[in-house]
Order: sequence, then C-alpha cells, then structure tokens
Amino acid sequence: MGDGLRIYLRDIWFKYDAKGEWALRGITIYFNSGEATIIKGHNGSGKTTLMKISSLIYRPTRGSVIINDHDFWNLSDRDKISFRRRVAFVHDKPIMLRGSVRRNIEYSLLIRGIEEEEVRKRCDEVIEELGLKTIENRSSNRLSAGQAQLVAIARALVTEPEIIFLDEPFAYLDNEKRKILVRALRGRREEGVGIVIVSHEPEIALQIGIDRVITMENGEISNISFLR
Amino acid sequence: MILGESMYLDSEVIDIALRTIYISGSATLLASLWSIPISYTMAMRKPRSSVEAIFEALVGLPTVLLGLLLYYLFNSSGPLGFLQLLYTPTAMIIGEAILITPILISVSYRYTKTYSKQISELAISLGATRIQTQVLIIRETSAGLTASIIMGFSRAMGELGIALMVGGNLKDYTRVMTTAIAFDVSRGEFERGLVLGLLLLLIMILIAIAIKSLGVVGARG
Repeated sequence: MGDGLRIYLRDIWFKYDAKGEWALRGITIYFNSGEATIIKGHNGSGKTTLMKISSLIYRPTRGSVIINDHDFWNLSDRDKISFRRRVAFVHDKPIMLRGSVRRNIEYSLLIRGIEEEEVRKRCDEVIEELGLKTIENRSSNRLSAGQAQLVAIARALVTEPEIIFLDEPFAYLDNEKRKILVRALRGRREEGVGIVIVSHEPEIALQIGIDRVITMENGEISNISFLR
Repeated sequence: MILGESMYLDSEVIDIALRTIYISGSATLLASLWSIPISYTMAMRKPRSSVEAIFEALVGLPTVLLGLLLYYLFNSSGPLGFLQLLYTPTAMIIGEAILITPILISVSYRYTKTYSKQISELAISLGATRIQTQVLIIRETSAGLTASIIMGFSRAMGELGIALMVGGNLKDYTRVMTTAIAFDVSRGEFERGLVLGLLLLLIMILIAIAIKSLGVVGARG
C-alpha cells in the first residue's frame, strides 16, 4: 500500500453549470487512508458532489485537489489514472454493466491489465466475502437493488483501493446483507484502508469504527466531530 | 388466408421482397456509417437544444419532398445528372439513407445521452483510460443503437415517395414492396396488394426480431 494516500481538498467551490447555484462553497477537508469518515446532511446539502470531487471524478469549479502533494487536476492523464486507480467510488444507485455479476466485478481488474489468474483469484475472494457466490453467473439486469448494490461494492473492493468512497451503501440492503457489508468494511478499516461513507443511517456506519463525522449544510461543512 | 394462396406468392413477389431488403438494408448500413459517429459526438459534446430539435423535426421529413430534391439532383439536366443514377437502386439507397439519418441520430443520441454520463462516470471511477471509457460507452449503449437501426430499417422499407420518384418502379430493377403495392392498387389488384402489404409487415417484424436478438444479448435492464 506504499506510503498511504492523502486527498486534501482546498477551498473547493463547485457548480454543475455556469448559470447554476453553487453546489459546494469553499470546502476545505482531507481524507486519508487508514481513517473512516461518515458524511451526513440533508438531501441537496452537497454530500454526493463532495464525494465525487474527493474521489477524483469531478473537477472543481474553483479550488485545488491535492493528492500526496500533487495538484491532481494539473497532472498528466497517465498520472491522473494512476491516482484514480488507488481510490474507488460506489454510486448510491448502482450502475451495472452488461453481462454477468462476475463480468462486472472482473471489469475493474481487466482494465488494469491484471493477469487472468490473479483476476480470477481476487474475484473469487470478494464474491465469497460478500456472499455473491450463488449469483455470480446471473445477468446483471436480473438483480435486485440490494444485490446490484453489493456487486457495485464488490467491483470497487476487488481493486484493493487505499481509500473507498461509498454513497449510501446500505440503502438497498436487508439486515443480513448489511451485516456482511459492515464486516467487509470493518476488515478493510483494520487493514488501513480509508473509508468515507455518505449515510442517512449513521448508526449502522458507526459499527465500522468511525473516526470522524462530517455534517454538511447548503454546500458547506457545518460541523466535524472526532470520535477517536 | 390470402397469404396461403400461392398464386400471389410467385417468383416475382419473392424477387421484389429480396430487392426491398437489399435496398433498405444497404440504406440503413450507409446511414449508420455517419449517423452513429454523429450521435456519439453529440452525446459527448452536449450540443444546443436547437440542434436536437432540428434532428427531431427532420424525422418527419416528407418523403415526397426529399424525393423531389433528389429527382432534381439526379435527373439528366440536374447538377448530378452526369452520374446517371436516376431510376437505379443506387439512387433509392442514397435517398433512403438520407431519409433515415435523422431517425438514427435522434434515437441513438437520446439513448447515448442518457447512459453515457453514467457509464463515463463509472469508468472514470474504476480507473479506465479515455479509450477504455469510450469502448465501454459504445458497448453499454449498443441496445439503443440496435433500436435506432431497427427503426431506420423499418422506415426505409415502408417508404414510398423516394422509391417512386428516384426509383421509378421499374419491373425487375427498382420495383420494391411499397411501389409494387401502389402499382397493384392502381390497376385494381387489391388482393395482391394486400398480400404484398402483409408480407412487408411480416418481413419488417422478422428482421426487427433478428436484429434485436443479435444486438442486445444481455442488454441493459
């Protein structure tokens, strides 16, 4: 895992279109590997936007994203991809690719050029861990919302990210699947992976071993509580 | 019942049906060559809504108007008269390809626009390169392309104005299902026209099913 990853957002402002409202207003925050954070707030408070900027998907309208002392958006395409491959983001509404569950999970490894044997081994492990064995060959368009959510999480976990951002990961899961996910994330947390969760149900997320709770309001951070 | 009467399903009818499939299929392939890249470019670049509106309006382009324009271009004293394309299957293919271009672009663009942002975001979040992202978008939106191709092909098959004006309904050369139906009705052979009409419908449905099963195995749910 090297020296770990530190994503530092400095005075981030973001608009979805030039004439629109600010979705984020002057956010300064960091996310480290080895730390677990919950982000909470009302709908429209900017949680998902903050996650997408932090996970290097959206480019901020103003401000800098500093990753291990590099200004991310000024890096070459090659370096950007290299850093992106060290983080993972899971959407709140799972986006499934065509094909089977296994194909969905394999995809993120295949695009990294990882050898087939290694791909198979890592997929087998995550499929077993998240209880997806019985549906691994099922077509992705025949999954329930909860199953699709777990597949999307498996697709992220299989890449062994140093920081994983999860937007409402428990939303579609029943109690049994929630327990499986909590166990998997707690395991990653203990291995030194950074975990950032947006959740309306912080009491579940707390079982993972949370260090910080960030509260957002109207595109700003209104409070940060340190639990450890 | 009428279909069962073999007197209507003679070799000429089969010949007309095969020619119709050849001309409409070629027009669809030709139109796809430019329409699919245009729709992807539009989905990536997010054009002004007026550009979308123009393509959507052109979906309803009167075939007679397009036929008239092509007749003007291709007739012996027209700007492209030297090509000697008037009353040839090639002129029909060109005309139908132009006719279905707005359909192919509008339908595939609408689908691609909806999914390309999601797929592109997913690909970026998984660490895909630019090329991997483009390949994934094309792969994941192929169901929309299939739908647009089926619609374009059906429109080309059912088209009459261009086929008559630049094809001329020449027996054993440019006569297709629609022009044959019009010809049969004009000389009072309604039953034969009806047989051809039902056959046209049957072919359209069968080809649509075939394209769909080839193109969207495991399509997005």
